[in-house]
Amino acid sequence: MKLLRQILGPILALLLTFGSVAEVSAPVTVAAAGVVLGVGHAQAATPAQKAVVLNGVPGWVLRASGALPSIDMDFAHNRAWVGGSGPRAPPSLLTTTRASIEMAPWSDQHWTSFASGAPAITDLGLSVWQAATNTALQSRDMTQTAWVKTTMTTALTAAGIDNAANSATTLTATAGNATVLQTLTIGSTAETFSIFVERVTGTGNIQITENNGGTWTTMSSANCVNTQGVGTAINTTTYVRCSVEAVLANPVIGVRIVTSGDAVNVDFAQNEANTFPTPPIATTTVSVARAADGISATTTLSNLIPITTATMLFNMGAVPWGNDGTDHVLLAFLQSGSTPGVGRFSGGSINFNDGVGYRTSQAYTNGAAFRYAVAYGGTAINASLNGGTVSNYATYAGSIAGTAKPFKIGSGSGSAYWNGTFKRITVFPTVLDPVSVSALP
Amino acid sequence: MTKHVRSVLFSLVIGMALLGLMPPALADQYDVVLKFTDKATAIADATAALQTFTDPQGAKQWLNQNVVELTVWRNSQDTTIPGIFWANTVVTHHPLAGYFVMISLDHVVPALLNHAAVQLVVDRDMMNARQPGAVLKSTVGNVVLQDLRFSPVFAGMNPPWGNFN
Repeated sequence: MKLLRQILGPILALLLTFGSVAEVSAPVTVAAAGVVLGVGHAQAATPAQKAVVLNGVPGWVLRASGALPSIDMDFAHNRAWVGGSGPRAPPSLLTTTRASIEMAPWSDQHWTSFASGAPAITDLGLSVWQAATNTALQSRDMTQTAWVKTTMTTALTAAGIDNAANSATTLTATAGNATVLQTLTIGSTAETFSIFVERVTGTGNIQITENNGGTWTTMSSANCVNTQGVGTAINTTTYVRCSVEAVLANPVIGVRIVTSGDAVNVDFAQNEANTFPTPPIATTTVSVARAADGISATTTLSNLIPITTATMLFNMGAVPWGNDGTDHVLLAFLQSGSTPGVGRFSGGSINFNDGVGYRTSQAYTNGAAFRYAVAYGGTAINASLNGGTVSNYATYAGSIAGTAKPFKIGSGSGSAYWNGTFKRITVFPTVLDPVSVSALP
Repeated sequence: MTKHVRSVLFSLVIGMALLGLMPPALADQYDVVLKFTDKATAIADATAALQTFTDPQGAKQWLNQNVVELTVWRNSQDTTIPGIFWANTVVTHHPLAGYFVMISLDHVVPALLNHAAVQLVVDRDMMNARQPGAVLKSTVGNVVLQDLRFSPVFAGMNPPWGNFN
């Protein structure tokens, strides 16, 4: 199977590199001089783009003020462009260290599993997450005795979030306020309990607890999200992930169906020592850990990120964390110490650090998807978030201090994980207007 | 699959390899369980310390990309308490003494394999496939191995503990 994956993976990657089956938006064919050259974004190629296509650069590669990037990693379409080399499969540009499998979401709301050591890339982008351990046992199978049922029937007959048949549990209330609960033995810490839920029948409230029903929180768009991180009420079409968070010892986690006869499908019950839910982890009889994503740029890629002059664009998906008081790094220049590089710093702002200190700062809306562009060169650093007002630092020393290669994507040396998805990273080897760059698709 | 299709696919794969379009091949994962007196001793160990990083406060921490702290117990030593009213029977595990840690890498490190603290080394991919030779090293025999339980395990591990052959 591993061999088959290794053979078919590259073929699929090649197809996606030139854009085809995984296009989210309606694809258009970019043609020039009567030759079909490839399939790109839904936006029509400009005459300038068509001209460049003739020189061998696909139409989907971002341009800014006519400049081509040195790197354009379009993770959400599983394609990348490397100046001087051409198209690449994104995984070939990354070194991934992760001692476990990891699940990652797709825009159609399903999740798939990625092998240890493989970057988790879907049409929502590249996932980078800290480690987590799911202490909820039998996370997919509530028919097991680890779950205590009261006026609730359970059947392992539902398709799960991975579309696998008979992998998730159908809960049916045989009386009002039916419950299914599991007691965990854990010291007092911040815990998040999350579970995927899809309504089968009925319209009554479905509730969630992590304190043995001391508080029942009704599942709604306020505490349930889809795979894009958008608040979504439970429904009969797709799973949504609902969660509650509290600081407590020995949580008792579970679900309550308020109305007799109502039924829901549930999958991946997860209790973790985090203040937000991270990708789902399957368990049976013991706790299971997902290792953190250690993702570094290969030497080829690192050499294309200039340390003196460049403009970087980060197109990021929504994240489940808010102002949680910790660093979340986009790109780390340094491999040790406390100085990251480009990242979001605690305090509700996103910053650029040149290796000496934080030089720019912009207010950031907690959890929201965003585009962030930063240009450094000469004596200035200028950054723009979503095309907004430029944050300027006028005494840039001309080089990113203490640079150590390879660059790390989405974390520092072993901390400050991004905990979300990178849709696209583009690096131009020149100083450009960050406002217009952050408006690029 | 026709000979022609096979030939085209083979050429395509070779061509992509030459062009650098091939994602890196996935190597087998090796799980190494080590036992130390305590965490401080483990982190101070020269070989184990290769899997640590220094946090912003200057303290060494395990690299959580490939290390997890373990609780280890013997299944046969579990005790049970009958449930009260609606609750099911409560099972209590009795952790073995010592500090256990699992280091998991995509290659064999001889210094780690031959470390005095090593309790168990398995090739995860072979283990998951139930292939003979999956256990590269163990300080205990099969009977004890079948009785051992580890928590947590890394996602993607499917250890045959309890029915190990």
